[in-house]
Amino acid sequence: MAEIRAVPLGAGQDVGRSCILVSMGGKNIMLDCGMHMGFNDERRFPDFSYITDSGRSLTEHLDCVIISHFHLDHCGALPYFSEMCGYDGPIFMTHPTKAICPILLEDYRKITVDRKGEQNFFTSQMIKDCMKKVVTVNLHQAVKVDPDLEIKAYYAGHVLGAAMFQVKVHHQSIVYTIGVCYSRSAWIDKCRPDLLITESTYATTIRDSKRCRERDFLKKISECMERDGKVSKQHTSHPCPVDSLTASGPDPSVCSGKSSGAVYLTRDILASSPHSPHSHSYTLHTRERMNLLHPIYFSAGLTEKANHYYKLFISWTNQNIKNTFVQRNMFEFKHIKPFDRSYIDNPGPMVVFATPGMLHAGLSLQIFKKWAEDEKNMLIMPGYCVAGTVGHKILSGHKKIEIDKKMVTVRLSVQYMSFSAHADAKGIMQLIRQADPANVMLVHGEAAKMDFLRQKIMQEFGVHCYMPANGEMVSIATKPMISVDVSRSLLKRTQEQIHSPLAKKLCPVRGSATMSGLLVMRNEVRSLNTPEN
Amino acid sequence: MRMNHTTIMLDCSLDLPVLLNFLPLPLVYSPKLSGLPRWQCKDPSIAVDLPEDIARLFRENVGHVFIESLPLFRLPETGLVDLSTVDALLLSNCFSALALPFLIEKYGFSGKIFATKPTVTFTKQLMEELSHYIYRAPPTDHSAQWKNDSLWSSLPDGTLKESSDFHNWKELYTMEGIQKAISRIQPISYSETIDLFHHVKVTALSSGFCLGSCNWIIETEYNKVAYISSSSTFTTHPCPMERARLKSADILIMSGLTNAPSANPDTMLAELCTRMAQTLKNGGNVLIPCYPTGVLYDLLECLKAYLDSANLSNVPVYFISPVAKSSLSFSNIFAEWLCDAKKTKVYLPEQPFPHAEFIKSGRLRHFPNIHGDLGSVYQTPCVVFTGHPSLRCGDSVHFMEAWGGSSKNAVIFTEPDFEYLHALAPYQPLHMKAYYFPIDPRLNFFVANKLLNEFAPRCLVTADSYLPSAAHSQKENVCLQPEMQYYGLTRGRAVTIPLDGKFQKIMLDPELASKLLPQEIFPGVSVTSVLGLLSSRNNQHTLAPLPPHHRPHTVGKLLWGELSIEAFVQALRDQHGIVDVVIEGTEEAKTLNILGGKATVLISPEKTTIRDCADDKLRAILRDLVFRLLVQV
Repeated sequence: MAEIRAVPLGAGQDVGRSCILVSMGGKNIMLDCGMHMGFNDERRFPDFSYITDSGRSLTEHLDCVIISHFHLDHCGALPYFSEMCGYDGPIFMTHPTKAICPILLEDYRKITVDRKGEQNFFTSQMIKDCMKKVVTVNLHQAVKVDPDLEIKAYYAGHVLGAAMFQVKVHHQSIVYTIGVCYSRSAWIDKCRPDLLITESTYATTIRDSKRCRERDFLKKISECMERDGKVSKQHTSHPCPVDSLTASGPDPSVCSGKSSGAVYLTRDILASSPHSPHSHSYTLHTRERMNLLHPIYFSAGLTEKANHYYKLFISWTNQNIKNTFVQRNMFEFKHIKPFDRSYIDNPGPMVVFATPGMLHAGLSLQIFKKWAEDEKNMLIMPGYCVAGTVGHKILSGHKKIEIDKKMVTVRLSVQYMSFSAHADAKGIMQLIRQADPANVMLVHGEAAKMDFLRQKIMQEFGVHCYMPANGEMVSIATKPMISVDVSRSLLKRTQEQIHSPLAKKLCPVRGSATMSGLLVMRNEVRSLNTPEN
Repeated sequence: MRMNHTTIMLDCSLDLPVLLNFLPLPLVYSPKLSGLPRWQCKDPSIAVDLPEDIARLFRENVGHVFIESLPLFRLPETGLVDLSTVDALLLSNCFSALALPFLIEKYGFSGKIFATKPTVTFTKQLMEELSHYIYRAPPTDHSAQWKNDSLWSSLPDGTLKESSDFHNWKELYTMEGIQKAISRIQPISYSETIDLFHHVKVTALSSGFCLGSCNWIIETEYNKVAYISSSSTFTTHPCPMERARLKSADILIMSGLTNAPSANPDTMLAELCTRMAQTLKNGGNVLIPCYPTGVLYDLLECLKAYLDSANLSNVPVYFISPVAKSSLSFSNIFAEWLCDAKKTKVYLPEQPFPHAEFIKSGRLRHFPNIHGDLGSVYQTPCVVFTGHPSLRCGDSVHFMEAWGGSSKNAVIFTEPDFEYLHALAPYQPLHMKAYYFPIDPRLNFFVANKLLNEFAPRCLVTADSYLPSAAHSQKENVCLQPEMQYYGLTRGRAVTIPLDGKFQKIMLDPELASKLLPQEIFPGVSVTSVLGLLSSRNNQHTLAPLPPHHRPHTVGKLLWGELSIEAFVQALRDQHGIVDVVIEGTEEAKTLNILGGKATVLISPEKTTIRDCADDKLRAILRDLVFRLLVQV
């Protein structure tokens, strides 16, 4: 009997460095190739020696690599993998992913090499060379990697360009669904894969509606602002709607206040979800009611560029944004100004959106160091933080955190608010119901939460559910159907029995009929015929 | 097209050239157009019977007769099949979909509709523009009174008289109809395979003609039909034409060849630029009547570069259409449907089309109409792109009237769909210069013939007018020269093409399959009998193991092979000691008389029969021996 084998090299009972190897029908496919934000040593990348130890090179072993979306924990190891480990085969991703991925990789490289001074890391040129190996796919396009291997992308909605992938080899198929923000637009056919590999980041969460979260978000900011009302008046001359920022909603952000009563808020705008139907007008409205009239900043550069991509790839966002973009482009922020490092000590309240969302490096960390010790300030963490990052420590309630060999006391108020567009438990269950797989495998989550979800899936759908650790293999036996040519005369003759008055006598199963024929196998051709023929 | 129980409609265009038979629709009262001489019926016998008010609806100028009425439109043939029974409609590009609202509103079309995402967007824009142009003028109350047979027959010879089906011309749809039709379309991607009821699969492939334009593959498990609609092998803005998968089809349907087969688009474009520059330098204005999408994007790109090089960068370019803004905006967000050079621009990130830059610099300005903001910035000389290219409705009517009197100005036709002298007829006499530089990047006969050889289909189906006839002198650049079997199509007639349909696919359950033990009967050929439970759902057939205890008694094992008489006789002797065997009969059929008549075995190539045997033991021996000498499958 045929089988499908899957091994996580990363993201097995963990979040970070997503990388799953799948073998089916003689083909080997790698799903994602990410980095781990919690490590700075060799553990930050998946362990590719798992493949090379067999004596075959990466290119010989793998038929293709598929990248689900542009977050670094899904694509951060790509240049290392292709340029330093020598993978030379095709890498598949969507157009927006191909556009944004190199920018994030370059940013990651800069932080690692230029700021932390690490040697032996991939270079800018390697990122460029790596991107040359990328083949772009359109949604729903059936891409033949070779005559036997077919992949197809579905809209996932987590971030711009995020996609679910269906991989088919003959009659075996798997579906990889990372970064699915369950909504009407993120759907998949009832394709009945042999294996569905899904994330479980929010395995135990069922989140409120987006609108509630946004209202909550604005309320928290305005409360923080009000703590220092006298300064806020100075800024009434530049009203800054939060509108589309929050509207577009998802991953990480940090918000904090400042000694003078400023609020700062970091968020990974890159991570923002391309779909959030009506919220922007709503949020704008709320802003006016709440009198949120202080300056709002974006961390410049990266974020600006990213926004530009959102404008060009607006067809990848949801229908509502697309329909209205001719009149008013959702991603054009008129009142939001780029942030300069020198503004950190400016008096008066302010809101700053800064990256990265897990506070492991960069501007968000720098601002946090400055503002952490004043209880008037506030930090809003908008999404999941990987263990080991400063963000994770803050969320775990640490009051003293060591950053760059200096102790920082956390006095500012910390709020957690998930804007992340990862699937929650409800979303995952709905997705499984839709695709109707024979087996489920959980990755990209924490072991304890995963186990809870695993039990639930097995109970509700009666399918096997696996949650392998890194390096642990899951093997699934599949029963592929065999396709045969049947002569029309035999088929017709047999089908007539179904409707004949004697149907009951001829066959005990309703709606079926007994077929008797002669199977002839000549080379690769199998045909089923009447014996006379 | 009907194939494997499925009826598929390939495109549904409107016959727009019919528009030329109507008097232009000016936005406000036009003394010139309304002052054109009335047509006088030359046939006195009819003229007497004609009600005065009907004859008044026709006007004549420079030999052409025009109907003074709200323009009506000619639909695709509707009488051949009941359109409500069509299963699916495939739309190839935005220019070949304009009849869709009619199908839905008037003919109860209820099938599925497929088009690429850009096609959906631009189809909507084209429909909206047309509907807007037709209905924005004050309504005329005498819409259909001119439909009079006797009057029609007395019209002078020419295009109008030849349109004998004028009774079926219909009034255009409204915005509501457009909305309803567009919402029914299911947007798809290139290379996305769509399964229609498990009978046929359809796939869209890039055709290189305009944003989102496609050709189609329609296939069953055993047959493949390729439908080539408007395609282009020129390098313009869209994704290049995908050719590999169009090869070796059973049937190739070819349509949408260029309407200007003798004009090279590049030469025409160069001419256009020269004439335009000349006109502008003499202080004249240039009118380019056009559709709001398609070749326009290439024209704008070219124009920008040319104006810069010709030192005319201070000349404003106006694009006036109710959908101007959305056409320009949408063209820049369909990166993945563009040619590689444009596609890679978004990675930088930059807008794929330079018209974004052109607008930003204030040199290209777009307006929904002429009566709004245009007035405040309008300056001459200028270049105006506006619809409709037929000069029968839209703002091109206004510019023809405003600029027609001066020989400094020029109108340049680029759409070959409309015969330009006919288009100009109601405006004559004109002082303005008129140029015809058709830019139609679609396949010409020369390229189409090369592609036919490359694709090598089993047979070709194409319009009669594309095929060799006495009129064409059999040259390869004036008609198609198929080297395979071909069928010509004319409106309203069907052709039947035989396809091999012996087999269908069935799926064998793995449990059933694992119990089969095929035996080799010839080298490379194995056979086995199969007994299973057939179930058919959604046109998919599976064969599963029979339920336990259910063994139909009627079927047994099958025997295969030829019974060798020598071997049979030898085995009887060696294994059972029976030597009394008398062989009689012809070469074909032998009779073996065993033990002096205790049993008879008849052996012929078709069958072996044991006869006249009262001894059960002997019969069993004979039977087992036959079984052993043949292959049981």
